[in-house]
Amino acid sequence: MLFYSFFKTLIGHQVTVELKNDLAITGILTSVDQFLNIKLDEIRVVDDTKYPHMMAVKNCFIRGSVVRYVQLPASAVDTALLQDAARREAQQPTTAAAHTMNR
Amino acid sequence: MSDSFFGFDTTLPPLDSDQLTGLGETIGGQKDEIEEEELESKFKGISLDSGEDFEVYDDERDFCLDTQLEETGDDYNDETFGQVGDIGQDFDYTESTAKIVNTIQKEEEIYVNRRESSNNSENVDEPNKRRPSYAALWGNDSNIIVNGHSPPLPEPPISPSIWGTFHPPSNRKDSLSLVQDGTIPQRYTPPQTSPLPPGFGLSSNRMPMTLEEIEAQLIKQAGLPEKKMLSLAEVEAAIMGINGRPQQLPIHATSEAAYRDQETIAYLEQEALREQEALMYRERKRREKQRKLADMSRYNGLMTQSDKDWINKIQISQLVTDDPYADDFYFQVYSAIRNRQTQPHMSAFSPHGGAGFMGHERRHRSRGSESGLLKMQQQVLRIVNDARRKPKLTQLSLEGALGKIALNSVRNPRQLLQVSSKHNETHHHTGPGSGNHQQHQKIPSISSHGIIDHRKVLRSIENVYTAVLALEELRRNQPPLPRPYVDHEREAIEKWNEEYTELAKTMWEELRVTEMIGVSYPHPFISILSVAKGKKVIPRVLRHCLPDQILTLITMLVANFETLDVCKGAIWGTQGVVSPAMLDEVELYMNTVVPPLLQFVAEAPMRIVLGLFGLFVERNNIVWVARSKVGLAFLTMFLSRTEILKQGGGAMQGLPLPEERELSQWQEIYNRLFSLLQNHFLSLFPPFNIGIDDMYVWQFLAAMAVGASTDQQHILVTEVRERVLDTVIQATRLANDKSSSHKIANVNLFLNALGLDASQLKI
Amino acid sequence: MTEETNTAPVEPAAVEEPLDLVRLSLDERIYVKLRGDRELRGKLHAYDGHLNMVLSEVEETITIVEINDETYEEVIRTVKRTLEMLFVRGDGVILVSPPVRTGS
Repeated sequence: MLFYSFFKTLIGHQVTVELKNDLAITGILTSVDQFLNIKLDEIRVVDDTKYPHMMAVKNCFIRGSVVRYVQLPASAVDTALLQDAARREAQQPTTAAAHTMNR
Repeated sequence: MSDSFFGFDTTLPPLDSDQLTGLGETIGGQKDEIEEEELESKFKGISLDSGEDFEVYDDERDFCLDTQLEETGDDYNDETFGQVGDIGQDFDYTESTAKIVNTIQKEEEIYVNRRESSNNSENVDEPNKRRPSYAALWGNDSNIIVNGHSPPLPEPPISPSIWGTFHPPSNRKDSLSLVQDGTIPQRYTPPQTSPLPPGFGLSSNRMPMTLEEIEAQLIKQAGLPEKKMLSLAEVEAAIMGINGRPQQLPIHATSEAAYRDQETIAYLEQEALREQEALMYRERKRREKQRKLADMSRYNGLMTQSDKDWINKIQISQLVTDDPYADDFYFQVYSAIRNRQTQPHMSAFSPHGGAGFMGHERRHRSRGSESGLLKMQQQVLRIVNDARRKPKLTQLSLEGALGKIALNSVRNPRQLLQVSSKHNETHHHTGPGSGNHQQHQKIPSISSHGIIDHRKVLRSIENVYTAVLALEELRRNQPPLPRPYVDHEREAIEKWNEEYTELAKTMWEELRVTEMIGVSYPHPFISILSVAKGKKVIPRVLRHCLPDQILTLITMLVANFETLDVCKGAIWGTQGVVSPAMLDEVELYMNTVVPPLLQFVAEAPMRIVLGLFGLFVERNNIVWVARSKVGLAFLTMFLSRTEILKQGGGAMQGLPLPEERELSQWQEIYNRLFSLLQNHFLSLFPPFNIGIDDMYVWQFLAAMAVGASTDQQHILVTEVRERVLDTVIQATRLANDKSSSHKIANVNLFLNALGLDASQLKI
Repeated sequence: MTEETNTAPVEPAAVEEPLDLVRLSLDERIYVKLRGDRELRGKLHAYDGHLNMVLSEVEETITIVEINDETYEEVIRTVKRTLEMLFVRGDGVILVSPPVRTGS
């Protein structure tokens, strides 16, 4: 849930989603879910001469599994807090061993 | 028993009769109804308006009948029913209803009939068709048509209702008999003179033609003798009627119709055929839908509303936790920080890991629009807690089942590797008392001997973070101060204190401050400080430290200062090469480690400051250390604090003026420092003109100058004179530049301490 | 804790889960090898069990092997770009390691 939580804070910011087929789409992040499926608005394909069929598309839904990268605005990321969140996530009881320890 | 006593008004909604007749009977009744209607539509080919098909969806009303029952106003029940004893909620419906079964049946029949007549209210011709006399029927119909219907001329679509009359309904015995018996009140049979409802034409248009009807048409078209005189007559009569012609006698109409244009008939026929096709298609669709509905209706009522609610809750509990910080930490805290930043009163503290505000935020979250969420969370809380209490199994093997059922979730994914953790096991056995915190399990043991490599340092730091995060969370969840004589509150705070102390102890040990000096190089604590995130954690660590722990920490730092990366790696040589990455580290150190230590020193008494100062000068190669920014910062810190205390500034903190012994001790240290730095003062500066702000050096020189004797001041000025002049010259050249005034201000820091000013300088 | 430090010196590094090693690299520069001959070097800010990650100051290196049409020789070409802040989907990750110490 860490990255779901993380992406929620980026809603409204411009991001560039790079897909595994090398298509890169820049747009405003409008929503995200726990599978990290992504909805973008006001989209623009980075290399639109290569993908002319995307010209007419104004917004899109991207299945999380086809994403390779998401380029983010660094100013919208609190790295120290993000590290803390990652540490907390790492401590969440995920293994059988951890389950025997109650909090 | 009369009908009126039970309030059986057939105009009431069906719910009432359901309530009284009980669950089973209602469903049975409904099913009969469905079958009946199905049959009816099959035979007559009348398509019902799909909007009011059946009640298969109305399952809500079958639930919780007992809760819907009125429990009040039954004071006279005993009088009416006789003494029946205590009535609970476990009603025996069949027994009660048996008493009135006859009435119920009758009522039901009436109800069914009423429903049909209302269902088919659009087909008002239906009750008419049940009449024994067709002649009367037609007479009636034509009147109605004339009265209520004004079809367009000259080629109107034929009303297929005429075809329907060839096949009078055969399955209407029950209602028919009721009509004949006169059981149905008169109002259920529409008065013969009443105008048709507006829907008449629409629904009658849907009447499909049968093969016979088509045949009849064909025969008539071919001019063959008419086998079905009456039928044809009726056809023509209907045409007449639609055409708006007055219709006196069927026979007369027939003779008239014989001369009618063949084209009209052909057209009508085509229309009828086309219409029939469409109707058949619609009918097929409707049947299909009906069949599906009937199929599904088998499952109606399998789940009660509370079942559904239960499942909803389970699903929600997967998404909502009682602690949003557990799964949604980043979002929650980030939003909180952003909200605070938009507010005018911002905390001076760095937002990172600020323990205080989170608790504050939490208390104010459940307001206004979020009360709905809160309500849901409360509902879910129980389920969440239940789930937590149960050990989360990764597998479930049911008795008698082959194999195991995996119980995986986002939190608990399938493990691909099963590494048995020896460490964890031993820990469970050895430390049952301290095993309350999962953090312990995350903290691997590190040998107190041997060389500490980078990974071990990182591990130490992560362990410190783990403890700090846990401490911060504990702080957020700190129970309120106990009221006197409230045992559980006192116990809660005691338990909390215990946990907190335990964790703070863990954190302190992980910092490794108290390890022997000289066993490893550099000292483990210094190694921690040599990593960026090790520096970053220091302010957060110090919030949970006791004063003497902080003192120990500073002492350790001062004693090993020259081994710090930001000291040894950031010393300006004559060539002046310090990597940009190291400059970043220095800045980080100045922004993270120094402020809390500075704060501590700024409150410390003379004795402690002198101890640290002396240790610093004694333990480190001062000429070397002083050439680093951080080293000078520490020296400046000690010098300025001692100066303040010497001048009685400690009075504000309730500290007495330094004793004579302390003053002489100070003088001793100062002189030692001065003599060490003599002839090196100029080398403290970073290389000129490489864009490094040298303010910190001027600050140090100022601090030195304040405590210096006249001779020492003279030495100082002589040594740095060149730099002063260079800086002032440069500042004059850049007269209009912003950096100009800053440079002058820097120089003045030092000059003012000597009682001079840059403006007095003649260049 | 004292019990641990006393009992454990024989076993300097206790058995850990692999992801715990990744945790050590939080706020440190790391090297990530990805599918499709891609490599990343950047500072790690977050990761999860799927090895989804957020990196900053990222340098991406794509290795492209081209075969010369005439000589049939393999020509290896690398394309580099830098990205300020990057989310990396975990399913493309092959390995994560600290950067070569001498390199940084």
